[in-house]
Amino acid sequence: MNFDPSGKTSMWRKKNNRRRIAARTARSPFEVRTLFVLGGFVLLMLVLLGRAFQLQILDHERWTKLAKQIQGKEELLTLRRGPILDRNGEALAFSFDLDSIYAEPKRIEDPAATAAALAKALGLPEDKLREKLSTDRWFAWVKRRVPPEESARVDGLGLTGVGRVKESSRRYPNGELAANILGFVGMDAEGLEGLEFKYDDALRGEAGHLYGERDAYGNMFFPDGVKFVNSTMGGSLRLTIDTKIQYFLEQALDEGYAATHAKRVLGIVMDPNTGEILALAQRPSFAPENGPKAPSDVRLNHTVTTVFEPGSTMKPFVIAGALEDRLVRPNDTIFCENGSMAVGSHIVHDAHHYGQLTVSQVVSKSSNIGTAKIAFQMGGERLHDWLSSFGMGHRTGIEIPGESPGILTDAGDWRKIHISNVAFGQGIAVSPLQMVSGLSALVNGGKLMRPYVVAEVRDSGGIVVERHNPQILRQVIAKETSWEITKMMADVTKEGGTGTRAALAGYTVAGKTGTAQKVDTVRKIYHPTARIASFMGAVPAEKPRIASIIVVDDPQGPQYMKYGGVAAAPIFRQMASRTMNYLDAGGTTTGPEPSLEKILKVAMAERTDAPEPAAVIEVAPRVTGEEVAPNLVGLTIRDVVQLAGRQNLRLSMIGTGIAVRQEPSPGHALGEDRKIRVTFDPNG
Amino acid sequence: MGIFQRNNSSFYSPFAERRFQSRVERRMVRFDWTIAVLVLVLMGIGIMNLYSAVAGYPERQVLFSAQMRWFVACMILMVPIYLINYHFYEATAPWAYAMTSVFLLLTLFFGRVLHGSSRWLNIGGFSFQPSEFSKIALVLILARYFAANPKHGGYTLRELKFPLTLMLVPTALIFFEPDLGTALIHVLIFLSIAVFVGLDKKTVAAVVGFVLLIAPIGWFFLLKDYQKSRILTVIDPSVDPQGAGYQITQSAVAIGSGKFFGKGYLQGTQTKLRFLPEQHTDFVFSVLSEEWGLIGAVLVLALFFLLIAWGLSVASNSKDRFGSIAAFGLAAMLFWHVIINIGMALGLMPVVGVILPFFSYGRTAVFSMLCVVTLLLNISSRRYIFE
Repeated sequence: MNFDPSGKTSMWRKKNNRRRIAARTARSPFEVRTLFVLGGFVLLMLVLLGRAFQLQILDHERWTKLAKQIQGKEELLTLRRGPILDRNGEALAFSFDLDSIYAEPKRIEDPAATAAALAKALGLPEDKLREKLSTDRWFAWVKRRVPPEESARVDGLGLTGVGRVKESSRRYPNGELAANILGFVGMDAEGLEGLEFKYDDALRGEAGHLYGERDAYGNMFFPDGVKFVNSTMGGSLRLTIDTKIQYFLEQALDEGYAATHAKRVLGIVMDPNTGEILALAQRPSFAPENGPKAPSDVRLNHTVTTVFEPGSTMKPFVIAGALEDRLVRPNDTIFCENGSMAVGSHIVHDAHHYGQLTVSQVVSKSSNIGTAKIAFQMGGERLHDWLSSFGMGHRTGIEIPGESPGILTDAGDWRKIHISNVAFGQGIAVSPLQMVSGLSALVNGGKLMRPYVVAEVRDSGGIVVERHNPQILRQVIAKETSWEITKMMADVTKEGGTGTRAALAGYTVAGKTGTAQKVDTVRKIYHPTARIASFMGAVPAEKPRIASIIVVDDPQGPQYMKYGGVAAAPIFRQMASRTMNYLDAGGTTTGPEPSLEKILKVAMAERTDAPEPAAVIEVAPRVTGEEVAPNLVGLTIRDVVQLAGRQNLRLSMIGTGIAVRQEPSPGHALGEDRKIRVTFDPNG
Repeated sequence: MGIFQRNNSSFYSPFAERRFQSRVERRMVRFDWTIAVLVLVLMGIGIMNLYSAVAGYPERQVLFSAQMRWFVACMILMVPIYLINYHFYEATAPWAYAMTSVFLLLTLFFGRVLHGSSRWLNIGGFSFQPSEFSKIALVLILARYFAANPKHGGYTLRELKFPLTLMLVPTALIFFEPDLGTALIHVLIFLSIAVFVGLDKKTVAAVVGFVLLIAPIGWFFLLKDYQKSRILTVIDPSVDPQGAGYQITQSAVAIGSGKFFGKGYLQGTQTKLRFLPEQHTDFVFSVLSEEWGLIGAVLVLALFFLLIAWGLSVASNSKDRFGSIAAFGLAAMLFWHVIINIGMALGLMPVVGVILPFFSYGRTAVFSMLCVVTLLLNISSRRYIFE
């Protein structure tokens, strides 16, 4: 730095000059400050460099991931859902691959020719296709899930810019069979109804997709051509349904539906000893493959979602309660008032003018007056408790979505006429499923079983993630009482009973008919002629293997044709005779031995103080989040080890056989060490 | 001053013996090739990077060739600016200053409003940003003032009153356009020059105190909401991930995913897929970093640093006080542009809209930045006492 115009000016002042020379070598203030500023600049530059280093080297993974996330594209392929199998492993629903044809309009050189060729091969309108292919887009579906021969034809054309990708297609090989249990799926194979809906998470798998690049405006780019990630296979369900029995039931319902001209017929077949649903159906129904187009009334599973006033089928539950309470004995006689009895301002009628009837005869002849008298003896509160104890007014907890709890009003509001009405099944509403599970408790020795339709849920690797076992909700009545009431119900189908049309050759059927007045929903009074006819029965009465209910909603024809014993009982017989032949020929219905009580907690009913029944008992999840113990009880050692391995648990196992206890118990917090102690028992 | 010490004593210069044919020949012989080469390299990388930045936008692709032509046109315009002795600029600095201030005032009232701010002025069909020139005018007028009023032992606050006013007039006008970034550059230019010419110790303390006082007042009374949100998002981008934070996040994604070697020229996905906002103006550095990685970022930063350091050496070696202060101010201007623009792209600075010299698209900016370089060349070539 030199501000002197020249060195010469100071030559005549030596001292001054010396100082100047010194100053130059010792740096001027400007030079010092330049260095100072340069230092500051360097510092700031280093901050920038440090930040760039941080972003691009230290944290690059995070930003790279973000960049991919933003650009990743999800043009989804259909889901590859896992199969739904019946109890014997027969497929009720499965998925298989078909080719979907797509185009890359950007790469197509001659859209008109390509469109013409494709239209011919696939049977599509040519002008629309040409329009689609003439755009500047990177990707467009031409036709999805085409039959193999069409796909082969397209392949044979060898068109550029046209490709095929495997997409999954959902099939229900038995047509309408079990449609209302299975439900159906939507366009992208997402579960919309029934078990497909309820178990969508387990069945769906990972959706495949196209991948390419997407810009900030959401447009797709495939600069390197369209690439796909295929959908992965989802998990599977195994049901308690037996395809054969389901078929017998549906066949019988078809015939009954045609014969009675009813609005609707419903039927359920259950294993009374385990609660397994063997068949469940309704008419009219639909084909799941056309599910989205079916009317909503047909798609609804009325056997669990719709409630009806059952009529006389309610009587055995009342009598069973009275027997259990020692209010009556089977051979006590009751005076039935010769066919009509005044209750308050109402008059209760019987179909025939009965005098003295035994309690057994009250059931078999379905006397309203006899049942009402027994109910009066019992009182409203007790009657309510008994029905509640048999499950009326509570959801059973079945896996089918949309279950209704029915209507069982509070006994405090019941006047005398209400008590008698409820006793013969009016003024109370139940679902067919509630009736059949109550029936099972009547005939199986008194245990109320939780009805269930899903036996196992497996993941895509075939590992059981959820297993449903027979579950006793409570012991409602004693074994002896169960036997007494079953005997009475067996008389119903014998000569002189109301349900003779349900009798089977070679088997004793314990059953009960029901004929209920329908409510005229417009006028809010009982309809003078419309009826709901039903029959519930268990075969063989001595040791029931099936329990079933058939409900015929609004059968047409003369009045006598609308009785449960006329409209519903034959449908039952039709189904039961084929089913029993099939079962005797080797089909299996009984659940896993040995005795269920050992495996499962038995919630015994305190009969003196009818308990508030557990509403829905969910099976604790087999797979849980991070900190909670999964439910391992009821699984084999093999399954426990697999599940524990996948959830990173540390196992400590005692004994062999089936898991009966675990510590911490399901749903409870896991310790830091993720340790879980499981006790096994060979007898379960 | 080892590295900056050049042979500026004409007594020993071989050139001293030479008789130059003309003034032009003299200017050519004394041309500072270091600055020129550095700038040409930066411009080359810049134009290449701009091509990539607009590649994803069909409607912006014309900007590349426009910038290319403008580079060439400006270089021709720079020839007379280089040839005229910089003392002419010293003499005319007040006029330049007055003119830019008038332009700024006009802009405030008659400017073209774009994105809510009025930064463009149209005179005779020629549209430009007066604030770009006002930076240079400020450097020149401050250099002239401090050159004419030397002070040993540093300037006191009272002596700084006038230059401070000189700075505050254009700064205020720009601030109300509003253009926070350019206003900030003005303030930083003033502060840099003030440090360079030397400040009284008490004054330094007073200024620091003043800044600490004015900061909260400015925050609550002067800044608009969107300006505040830009500042807040630097501290925490998640405050407003969709708005102001969006730009910072997208820029960080672009730079971070470039990693060490980058994705390759024209391969930047954030860029091509239009996730980066303003990638041809404010966020060109993100494009560069995504495609060339840390290596590219370090190279460009190094080139800028060399240019600025060379500018400081020009300041250090100038034969007079005006030349020194002006060269320093110009180098500082370059420096603050680089720091703020790149700091912005890296998420260290609020998004205030400061261009990256030679990289960002913009006619006025290209012209003014080439003026800065040309003035440095001008001062550098006239470092000798005897011409």
